[in-house]
Amino acid sequence: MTVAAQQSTAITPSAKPLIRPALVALAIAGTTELTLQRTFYRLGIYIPKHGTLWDIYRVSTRVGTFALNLASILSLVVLGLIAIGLWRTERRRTATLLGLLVLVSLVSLALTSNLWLSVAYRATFIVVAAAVLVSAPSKPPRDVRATSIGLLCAYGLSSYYGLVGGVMMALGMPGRPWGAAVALRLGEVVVVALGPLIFLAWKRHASIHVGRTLAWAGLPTVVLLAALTFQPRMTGILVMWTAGLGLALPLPLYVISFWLFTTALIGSLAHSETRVQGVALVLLLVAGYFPQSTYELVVAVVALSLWAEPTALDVNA
Amino acid sequence: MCRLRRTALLLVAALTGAAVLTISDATLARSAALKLVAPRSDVPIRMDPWAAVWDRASALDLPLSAQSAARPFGGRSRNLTARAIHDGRRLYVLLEWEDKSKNTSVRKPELFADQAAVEFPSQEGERVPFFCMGDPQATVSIWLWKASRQLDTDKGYRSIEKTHPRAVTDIYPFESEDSFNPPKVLGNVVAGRGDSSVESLIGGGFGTITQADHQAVTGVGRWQGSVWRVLFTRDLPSAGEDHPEFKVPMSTSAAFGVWDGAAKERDGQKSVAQFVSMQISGTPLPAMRRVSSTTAVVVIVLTLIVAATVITVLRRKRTAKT
Repeated sequence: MTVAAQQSTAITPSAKPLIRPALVALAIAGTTELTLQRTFYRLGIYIPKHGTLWDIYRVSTRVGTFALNLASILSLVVLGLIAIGLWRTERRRTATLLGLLVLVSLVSLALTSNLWLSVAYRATFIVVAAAVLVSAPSKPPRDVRATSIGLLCAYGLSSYYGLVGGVMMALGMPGRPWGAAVALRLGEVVVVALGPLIFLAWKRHASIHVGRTLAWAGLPTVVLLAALTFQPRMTGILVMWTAGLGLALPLPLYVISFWLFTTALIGSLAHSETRVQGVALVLLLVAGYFPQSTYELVVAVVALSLWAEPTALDVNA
Repeated sequence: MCRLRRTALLLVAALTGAAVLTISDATLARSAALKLVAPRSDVPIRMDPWAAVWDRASALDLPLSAQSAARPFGGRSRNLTARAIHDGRRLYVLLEWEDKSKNTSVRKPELFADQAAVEFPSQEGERVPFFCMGDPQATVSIWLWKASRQLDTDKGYRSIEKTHPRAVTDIYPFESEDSFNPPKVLGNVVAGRGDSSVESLIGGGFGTITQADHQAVTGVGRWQGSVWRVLFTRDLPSAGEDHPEFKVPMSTSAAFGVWDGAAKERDGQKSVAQFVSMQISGTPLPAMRRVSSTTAVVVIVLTLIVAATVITVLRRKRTAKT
């Protein structure tokens, strides 16, 4: 690595101050819309259609819609800021690809929706995600590299049906893409395996008490376990619509993976040195395994960028 | 101060943009999901779900999940394949799903027939209604096919005498007089004598299912090799206020439901899929091609080549710097 590149691995001062608050705002807006728009809104059938409860429901869903719009804007802004920073640190090819994704996202809003646009968008997402993960200037630790590859595999497998099926539909080819269901299920296996891997990657650098963090992460895990036990059907639907997981594997695997993932997430957020990784994990939750909109795909790329090289982004400065 | 000002400006701009989008009911995100496309057929479409023309239509695979929004809960995870075609005058929707048993008889209280349904928002342009039976502010038009009614249509109404030929009854006075058969007199489609295997219904929420005034939809279902295929069809123009208007081109939404009679599924005990985008297109139905798997392989290989090229170039750049 040249001296100039070494000196300029951090984002230039003009971009640095903006990324951190934008990321924090994106993480908050993303989790708010995930909670209110994609989860609570879908429980509306249980809400009595009168009185205070109904008013609370209407206000909550309106707030969720606002959070979705805010997160959509911030995701593009953050991606653009990351691209600008990378451009100024001589990683221009990666910056160009990120900028291309921002441009395609904006163009897709202006054009009438069509299959070729969906296909182009998803193909751009795969290429950008791969470039982000392998173009980190510093060699990441083995566990971070393994989890990065796992994330790329998971998104690749979940995108297979949309990509190949979209091409076939756009070309007017009959039938369905071969192995689409198998690819989706394989991707779920990768997602479940990523929980323990991400936990191990965090644990190796953890400077806080692991046992205590495991206990804290047990709270949302118990909630998930209770939901799967007492409301399995509704929980299954919500998990499919939010995270994109079909729960085809044995449920204990999902619970254990979620527990370990949540431990890493809480532990990362709790310490300033690993906070960027924590934000990356939050954004991975927001994007889900099976992103279905341009907003979710952009959030996934932001999450992958943060996970692959948090120190190079230097957002904790 | 400069840094704080820039941060504040960025957040205020983002919040303002989000507020504008929320108030105007617009969105900055576009769906990247697949949609069901109904191209135009250049050949007449027979009422045969297994006709060769359907091999030329693109298939959309949909995961179904159990209905657990309102009692009675039921159904399970399964897959459904949907296809659609139009001929400029009528829309045809084909549903296909695996079912090891063909359940067509309801001659005993403990027997239930296989069923399938397609659901559309009644009015174009309204917000997408709740996919399970709609809601009071946005009704849905439901096309419901029953295997038992298909049996009636194919082989004639299965009367008690036909079902239980050895049964003996006393006389039924005024048996042939309509005044003693109110459902039939009132036009209840379930009391009909097998004119059609499909009912056209309207839903405005759980427990509100109502028969449509005009029965505009027809259909046919055939079971073959542990697979049901059910074909629904209706004229493109709307048949009334609660029937969605279809035209070419247009985009709408469609949801689906399936009942397994062998699992005693009926009423709300069903497997359902949420609304997917459906596009009625003016593009012609393509000619039959048999290279779909090759196309899949070509796309995968091309994507991998592009990704590998990008990765290789970036790595060389990094190596050159070191």
